[in-house]
Amino acid sequence: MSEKQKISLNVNGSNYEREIEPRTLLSDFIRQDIDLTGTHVGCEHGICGSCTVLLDGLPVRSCLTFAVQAEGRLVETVESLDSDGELSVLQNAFWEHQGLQCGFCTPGILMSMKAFLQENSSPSREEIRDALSGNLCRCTGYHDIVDAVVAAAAASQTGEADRT
Amino acid sequence: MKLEGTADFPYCAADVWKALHDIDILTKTIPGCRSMTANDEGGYVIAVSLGVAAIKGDYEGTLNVTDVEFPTHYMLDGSGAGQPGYVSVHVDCQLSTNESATRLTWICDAEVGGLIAGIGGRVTSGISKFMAKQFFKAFEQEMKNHFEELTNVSDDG
Amino acid sequence: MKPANFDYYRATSLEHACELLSQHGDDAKILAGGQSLIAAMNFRLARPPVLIDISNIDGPNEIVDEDTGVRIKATTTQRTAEHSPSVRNRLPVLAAAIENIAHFQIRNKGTVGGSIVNADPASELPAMSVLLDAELQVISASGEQIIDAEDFFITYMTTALQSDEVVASVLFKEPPTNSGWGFHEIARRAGDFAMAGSAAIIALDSEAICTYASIALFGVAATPVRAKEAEAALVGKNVSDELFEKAALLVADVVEAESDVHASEEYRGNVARVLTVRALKDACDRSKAALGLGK
Repeated sequence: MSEKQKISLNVNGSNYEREIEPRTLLSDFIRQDIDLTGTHVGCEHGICGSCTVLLDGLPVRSCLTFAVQAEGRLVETVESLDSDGELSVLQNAFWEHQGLQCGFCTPGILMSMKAFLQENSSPSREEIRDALSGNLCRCTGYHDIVDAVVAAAAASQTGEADRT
Repeated sequence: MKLEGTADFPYCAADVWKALHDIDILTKTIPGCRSMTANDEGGYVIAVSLGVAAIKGDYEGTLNVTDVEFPTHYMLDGSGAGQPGYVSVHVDCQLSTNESATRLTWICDAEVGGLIAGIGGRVTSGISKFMAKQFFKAFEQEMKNHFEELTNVSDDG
Repeated sequence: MKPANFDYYRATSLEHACELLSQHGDDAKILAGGQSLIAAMNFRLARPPVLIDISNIDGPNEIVDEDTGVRIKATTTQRTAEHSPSVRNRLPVLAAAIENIAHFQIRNKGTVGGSIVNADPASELPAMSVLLDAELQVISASGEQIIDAEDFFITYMTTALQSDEVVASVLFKEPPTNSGWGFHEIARRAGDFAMAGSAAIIALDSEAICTYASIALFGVAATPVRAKEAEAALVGKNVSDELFEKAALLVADVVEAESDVHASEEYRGNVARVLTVRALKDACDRSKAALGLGK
């Protein structure tokens, strides 16, 4: 019944052209049509945050976005964070401070925090906790996540690396 | 969930009763009613389309009339299912006469299940009350249209 | 779950969207931010046969200053409105309300118009539209009309919008000069739908007499509601905590709450009263500060 739509978009710096059903969610497009499985699907109604990606630089729920709505846009997923296998400052901070256990929520948290730190480069713990309220984690209890974000913010301030 | 209410009609109980059991009137006044036909058990087979905003669904079910005591009391037992869920209702209807007016007192026990109940739980009760209001508004209008002559007769009688 | 199939049209302009709406009528739903619609479609609670996407319509001037207030294009994201200097300066209660909508990830895509048309009575934006006497610019293939926010909300998720109409913009009226605002809501977790919420605008004169009051409640009825009796109890009176407590008792008139898994009817009614008192006190303090009056 529904015609397939041609879309072209940029994901993590590469251009993709695909023909898809309009009902294809961006989360499923990312995972299945272009094989980037770092983005995770949890609740599929926008609450858990594990599907969070950057759309034109802003964190959004890819499960509440149709892939056709990303036509002509720039999508960034967790795969865009590292440089040739070297972890970004943010990822490294999570590693060092045990900001992840099972890792299911982690990509969504990393993308949300990447954008958050770009707007607030030295946040308080309270501000970080507030910014994390859109991502659910069942493993860590959040404390180590907050530690990791604090560390990442500090590391970026001292200019340890120019990749966040 | 429990819903209840009263509705007053300026007609005698027998006329209100007849209208409440008139398939044509019910088909026009039940919100979203697509079709209604009498079945062999003295009840009805009914198809409705209901919903709010984008959340629409088609339901099919049966409505049985029981405990009949013309013209003062009857009960409705209904159940229907559709893609978004299922609903079963049990309505107690009492008609009482007050001078030349009739009061319908109804008490409804409704069970909603399936998708709409789980996700739409917050709104099912409020929407049901809204639909009940819609029904009575439409019903009153239909009665006015069809029974104007009868009103004059019962005023004389 | 995944959404059911639909026919997809990308509108190139709002007029194009109206043409498509008049072609497809009840079968079509407008897709703006999709933060409510796509969730319902993922559950297959909503299965619109046709989707008209207005999220990519280019156009200038999403937020425009006008004499009586600020006009926000319906497809403006909640984030853009939240950070807009016009909104923050002239409608600070609106900025505060938007900050309470879900989470920033949702606000980066959800739209001002979409939230209002979605008409969830527990949402912040529908409540702000009645608090600020907003005017909705509604267009269709056959013309244009203005619908006042107080006439727009009929019941849960149901508005006065016809199936061939779309909201083009919303004009939020600027509150009186030197008025103050208050906004309070209660939810179990940050970002959850409000169990109850109350927002107030108070304007005082130099003797701390209330010259204007607007109180809007959300989460406590089938639509957002203005507590007009409570407002009337304030205007012309000298403000005080006692007056606010008395006025807040009158919001019970507009509370028609339901008990559900999140909160009971009694709780919502009580919290509505408590939050109204807090909102009134905040509004009064802000108005006094604007006037240079002491507390």
